[in-house]
Amino acid sequence: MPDLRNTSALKLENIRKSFGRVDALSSINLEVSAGEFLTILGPSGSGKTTLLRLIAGFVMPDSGKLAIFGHDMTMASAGKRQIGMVFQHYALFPHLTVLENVMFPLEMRKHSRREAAEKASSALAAVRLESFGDRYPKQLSGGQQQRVALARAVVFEPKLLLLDEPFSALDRRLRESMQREVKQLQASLNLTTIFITHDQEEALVMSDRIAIIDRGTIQQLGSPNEIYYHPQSITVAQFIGESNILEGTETPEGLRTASGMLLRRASPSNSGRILVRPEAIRITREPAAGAAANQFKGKIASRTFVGGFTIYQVNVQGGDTLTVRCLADEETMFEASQEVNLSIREADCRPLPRDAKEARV
Amino acid sequence: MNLRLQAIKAQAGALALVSPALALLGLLFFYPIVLLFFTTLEGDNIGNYAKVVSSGTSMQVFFNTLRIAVIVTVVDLLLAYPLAVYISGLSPTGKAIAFFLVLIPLWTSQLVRTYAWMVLLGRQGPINNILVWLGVIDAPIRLANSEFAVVAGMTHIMLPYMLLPIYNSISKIDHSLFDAAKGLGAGALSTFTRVLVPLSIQGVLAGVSLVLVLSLGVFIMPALLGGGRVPVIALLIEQQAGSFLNWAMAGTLSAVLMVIVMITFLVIKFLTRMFVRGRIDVAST
Repeated sequence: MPDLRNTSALKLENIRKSFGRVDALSSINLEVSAGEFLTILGPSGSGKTTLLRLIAGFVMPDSGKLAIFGHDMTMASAGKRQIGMVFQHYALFPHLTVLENVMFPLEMRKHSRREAAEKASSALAAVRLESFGDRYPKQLSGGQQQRVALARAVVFEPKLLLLDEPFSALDRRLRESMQREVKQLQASLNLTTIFITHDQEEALVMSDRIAIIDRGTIQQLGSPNEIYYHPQSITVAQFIGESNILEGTETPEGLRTASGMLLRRASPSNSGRILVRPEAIRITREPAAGAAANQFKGKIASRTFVGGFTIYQVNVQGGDTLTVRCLADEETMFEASQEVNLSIREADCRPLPRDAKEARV
Repeated sequence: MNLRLQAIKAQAGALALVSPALALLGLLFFYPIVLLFFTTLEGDNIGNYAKVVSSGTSMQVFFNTLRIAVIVTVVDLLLAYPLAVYISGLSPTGKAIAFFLVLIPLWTSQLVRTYAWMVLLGRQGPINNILVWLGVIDAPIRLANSEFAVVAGMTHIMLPYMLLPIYNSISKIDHSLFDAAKGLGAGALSTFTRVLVPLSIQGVLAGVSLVLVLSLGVFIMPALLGGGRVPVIALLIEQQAGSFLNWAMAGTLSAVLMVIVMITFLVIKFLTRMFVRGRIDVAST
């Protein structure tokens, strides 16, 4: 028996999988520790679904190793892995009642019918559906079906919980309350959870760590903060949040863009590329006092009012266009073609490394 | 406008739409059945029914017909179910080809297919030739003009009627349900008995009722492939009407056959209700 305290809940080593000539996954390495909530975030076609199906045991890797709590499960069948999974469209059995659905994994594990019914009832109580046991899935709303699927996935005390874009079919408000509910349940059961999504906001809200996957490889792995503020590649920067990416030549004072903007920054680098998040740019009518290191004059090109905040496109003198996001304030709305001042702190000009494969400009 | 009035108007509209079909069925189907029923009572009141029920021969023929129909239904079910599972897993092109092959028999005349079976099963036919060549048998054996020939031919003809409803219900099942079952710990057998079968039972029962009912009334196959050795009810009716000109008896036999068919239908309907208890219909999604 391996020592559980020092083994990771899930360990993937050099996992590769291709379909025909298409490499779906190339060399995936990933370790998830017990109780962690890890999100695999990527656009459609990035390989995230293949990775999930591979962890679940529906797809076998071409090469590499997969271990769950220290046990080699690379070629184990799905049923042997003790993984609870919530499918995108819930995959509840339509011919079974809610209670029978939740009892299913217990009956497959040869629990007596009575014991299975008791456990299933308490799992349903945990998702506040104890009075719905006799209904059929089709008689429930989307959110309720989701909770049944969740109860069914955790009722047999699995070692891992996999969530495959479970919120994508729900409307916005329901989605937010389900996110909270899943997070609470996960925390109370201390269940290691792997969550698949293409929704970056969802990933930032839910996760302990995020793995960004694209073109079959993990582009970056880190906490939501790290991913947001210190993206290691342009792919990651563009995928998470909105971004201004400025390119230019390195000078002793800072980065100089082709149009002549000089951006001073706190940490030196020689990548020739800088990331500025739209909310890090201050926009004022008069040049700001207290002078941030980087000051530019510009003209408002367009304004988008989104309720809580306002997004401006600003043409900086010389040529570059920056996206600026600020809290909405009815008193100080700027109009199109109005002259404004932009200021950016040195620390908010973050050097953006070039992708390894990218040719140097 | 009054809601009640609106509802009545809607119903009247619906009635107007179905009335041509109703009139046609009434005239060409229901009216002849009523006529037939009166024919059976001619001269002897219910005496014909008493004769049929008390006659050992006709009851035996009924039983024989039912037996053959059940054999054909079971064999077709055993052939069609795995085939339906297989076809539902094919690519779209594969499905098109498979359906073309399955449906060809439906497009050719039953008579042609029956003669094809006669050739196939004949003394000098390919099956006998192959068996002799393989050394399984020394000399050609009788394959045609036997119950085996009738069952084989009927099984072939009825297969699409079994396959299509089963395929239809299997293809509607969400594939993630099988993944879910697997992931929750179900083996192949449990997945089959707990997920696949319950979710396709409606198609199975539909196919069973079609094949059973159609098999009860077959005429051409037993007439041509049975060689007089396979008595079924349709042959008996034809004999009474055609050879003995005993229309009353032919009508009585038909009426009894009709009752058997209706009972079969009711039993299957009851089974369907039982299996599909309470659930909001899967087929409707």
